[in-house]
Amino acid sequence: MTIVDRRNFTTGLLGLGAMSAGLSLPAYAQGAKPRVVVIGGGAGGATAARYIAKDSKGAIDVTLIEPTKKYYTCFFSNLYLGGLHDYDYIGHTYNALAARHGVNVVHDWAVGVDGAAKTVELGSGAKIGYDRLVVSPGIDLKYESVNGYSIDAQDTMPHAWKSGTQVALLKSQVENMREGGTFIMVPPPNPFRCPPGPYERVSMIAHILSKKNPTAKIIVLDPKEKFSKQALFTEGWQKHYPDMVEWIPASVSGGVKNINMDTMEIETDIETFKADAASVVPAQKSGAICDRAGLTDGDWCPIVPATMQSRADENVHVLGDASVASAMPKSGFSANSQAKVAAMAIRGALTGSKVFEPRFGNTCWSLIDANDGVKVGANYKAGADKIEVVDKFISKTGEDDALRTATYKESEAWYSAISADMFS
Amino acid sequence: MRAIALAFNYVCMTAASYAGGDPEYGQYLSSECVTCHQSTGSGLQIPAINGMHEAGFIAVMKLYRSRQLENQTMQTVARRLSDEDIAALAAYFSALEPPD
Repeated sequence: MTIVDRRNFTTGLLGLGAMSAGLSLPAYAQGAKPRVVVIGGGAGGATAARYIAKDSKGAIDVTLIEPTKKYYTCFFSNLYLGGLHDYDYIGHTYNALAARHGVNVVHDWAVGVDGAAKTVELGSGAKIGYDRLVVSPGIDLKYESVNGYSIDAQDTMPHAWKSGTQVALLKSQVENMREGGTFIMVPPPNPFRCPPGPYERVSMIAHILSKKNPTAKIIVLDPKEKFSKQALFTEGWQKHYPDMVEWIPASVSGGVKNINMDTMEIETDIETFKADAASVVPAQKSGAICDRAGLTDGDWCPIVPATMQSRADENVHVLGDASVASAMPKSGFSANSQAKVAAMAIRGALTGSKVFEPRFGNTCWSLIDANDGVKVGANYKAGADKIEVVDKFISKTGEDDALRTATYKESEAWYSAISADMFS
Repeated sequence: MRAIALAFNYVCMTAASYAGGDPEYGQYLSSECVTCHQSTGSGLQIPAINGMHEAGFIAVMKLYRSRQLENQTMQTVARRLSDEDIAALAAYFSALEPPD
């Protein structure tokens, strides 16, 4: 049978699946409550846990494993850097997921997955069994991808790419730069979390420096030749921060050859740059649990587009940055969208609820200066092998101030809404 | 093998089944909307749409779809929606409590 209509749905899945495959019935089919375990409480994991618990109305036992008690979003962390929001604004707890939706929130590390036994091992040594597992750990950093950079160097030149205290540290370093000093941004190579993020970070740091340290300079040593929303950012930097921001692609600099943490020097083919503050974002890979669970092919986890099931284990769904979502960027919005598709598929598999044709969407807003917002977005469908673009859009250069202000205000409303969609 | 298993997830229904705007289908489609539209969003740049009048909802979405209303995000969302999709969303959101 093929998917021929957008309103296709599941009926009697348990009986069909079990009989056709000739499998013994799982525990939940014999009367026990089906169990879903979610690893990671970010945009993918928190959304998945919330939607499975909320929409199954207690029919599925949902456990969310997340080490931190307060989650600081990566999205909007640049607005905190730029002084538009305080630190608390981007922090969220899991209290409502537990109290309102009955999610079992376990603050611990998931250190291993036994796919055969269908258990997750925690840092405490405890094991939690599952019928379906959702893996949404986000990214890990390949510190060694930049010569001279290391996990020990992250406090000297913060990557600040997982939000939280790293972003607070970077903000402090930028604001305490000497007068007329130089901030250097080293963006990561593709693929990476939040494609416009490094350039919004440059914009928000320029926004702060233009007020507090107007003779300061920002140098971007990019390992790439082009970047997301490039025309929009370039136009905005010239408009708002003339002579402050210099973007240097790898074809000009030869790329970063080495970083000396003691002297704050960043060596390239054309020059050795001395930084007064810097943010170095190395290459990325899926969170470490993905490798341990055997879900990766290279750095990322291949998935079945229609359900976000792992290609390596059909009882596991991989969401967000860790997955190979093809045309979808690694963004919080994407992870939230994928979580809803996966939640629907999981409920269908475990309780026989309707499963409609999956749809995905994403919009990434970026702020260039206060009230100068831009966006890029698309919607997507599940192709046989890949998630594919259906339709897309991007802000235009030369838009008037009223539209840019409206786009910025839209991003503020979106942040409130997606935060509620994840955590309330 | 996995593709066969996945295929069992899908049983097709005729389009006529949802002609009146099926709220359950609307609830599914609404999960895309609530990423941006809060239920308590009065005064925000992105308005609350819960409790919105059904006919008004349909009219606005069709105006976005035909690009007579401007907003790139909404135009892109709406262009993907059939009349039936819009009717289902309208049925779902109009049945919800409006914001305070």
